[in-house]
Amino acid sequence: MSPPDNDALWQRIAAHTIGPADAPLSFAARLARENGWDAAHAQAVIGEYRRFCYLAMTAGHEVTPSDAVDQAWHLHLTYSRDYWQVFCPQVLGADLHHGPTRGGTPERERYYRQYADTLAAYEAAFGEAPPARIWPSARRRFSIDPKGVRVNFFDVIVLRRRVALALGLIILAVGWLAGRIM
Amino acid sequence: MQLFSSWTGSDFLLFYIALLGLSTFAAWWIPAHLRAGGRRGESADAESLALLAGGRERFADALLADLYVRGGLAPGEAGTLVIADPRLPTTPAGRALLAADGPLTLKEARALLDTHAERLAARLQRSGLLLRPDEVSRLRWLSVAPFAALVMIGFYRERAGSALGEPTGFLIALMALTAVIALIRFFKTDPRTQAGIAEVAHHTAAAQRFARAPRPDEVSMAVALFGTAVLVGTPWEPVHALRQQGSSGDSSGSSDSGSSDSGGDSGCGGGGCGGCGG
Repeated sequence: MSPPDNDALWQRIAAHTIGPADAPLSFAARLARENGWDAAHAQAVIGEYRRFCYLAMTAGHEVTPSDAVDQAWHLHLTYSRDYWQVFCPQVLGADLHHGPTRGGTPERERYYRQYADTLAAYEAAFGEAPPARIWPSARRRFSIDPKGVRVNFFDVIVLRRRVALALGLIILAVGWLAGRIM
Repeated sequence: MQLFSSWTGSDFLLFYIALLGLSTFAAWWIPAHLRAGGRRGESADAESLALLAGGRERFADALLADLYVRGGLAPGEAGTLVIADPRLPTTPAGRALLAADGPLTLKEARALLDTHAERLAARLQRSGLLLRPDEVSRLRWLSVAPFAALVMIGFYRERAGSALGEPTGFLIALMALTAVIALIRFFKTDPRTQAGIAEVAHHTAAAQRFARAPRPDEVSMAVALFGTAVLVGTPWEPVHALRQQGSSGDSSGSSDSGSSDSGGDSGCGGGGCGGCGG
């Protein structure tokens, strides 16, 4: 596989801007907002999405993204005119279809193998291991990340587990002390 | 003149605590700097790296994982592995496992591999990656020598204090703590040469990706370097479950991280998305 810097496909992918450049809410800002990321992380994920698209065209096998990269892909698909009329035909030179799992153990194994192959192809193509915070371990990718759901912060309060645990312990301690004092 | 005779109990306790800190530092500094250098030759294979990185237990884990991935072993009942293909080409140690009569538990697998682990350890000693037994022993005793001296000083002061009717409970507790740290240091002495440590570090740095999602041909090396935890979330998780059972001694199956959720059926949720149309 040739180094991406000298590769025409990679140059096209890297130069492509997703969505209108002058939109008040850019693709990166929307991605950050919908996932609760900061702007820097959203930009990093978009960079990894570009690399993923490059691998999809060059790896020679089916590829599977991390959950974060998948979120960028999902959002890009909603910019359907850009995705199907510009990005695939003019940038990638081929259709890049999104294939969700059919479920079940064989599919899980297939996607695991594809994910492992994708990480290896990434390392071979870009000369470095994928960043761990965007391309996590198989455990995270297939056991934890799929538990994510849409949440509206207007309706609920969300606490990290450790914060909830700490709060619970504090309430217990305060309750115990109050019981001793009264 | 008696030593420490002019010191109050609290003065001596502070002195003891300071010496305990220094002794603990020395106990980690000594094995880090005084172990034999050894030598690095050819790049070590997965079995050698497993023994270097995690001892005999890791050696067994890596072999079991390798055989499982290649179809030589399959999941059995009650957290065991059964022989699926006794003729699978493998190393002599692997053949010892595949020659087992019945389902394998982790304990049985380790017992079957004992001789092979000993032979491999002897080979690694000759090649300069593991310390010889006398070198390990010397390193152990050197590491705990500061603690031994400290306990003797403490014992001397405790006897003197007791003779004068002073309370010595805190000092005895500190001496017990010293003994516990010394025992940990004694039994946790790293048996590798500096070259052996460097060899593992070199392979670990080069194989970071394996810790996230190893491919089938990388599983043996991944487990050798990082342990069976790398198998969580992979199709080869039963090997990790076997390891967990062997470690905990219960029959609760895999660890918390071992969700065998097959991926569900909702959109991209379970198995991830993928598949280029090219």
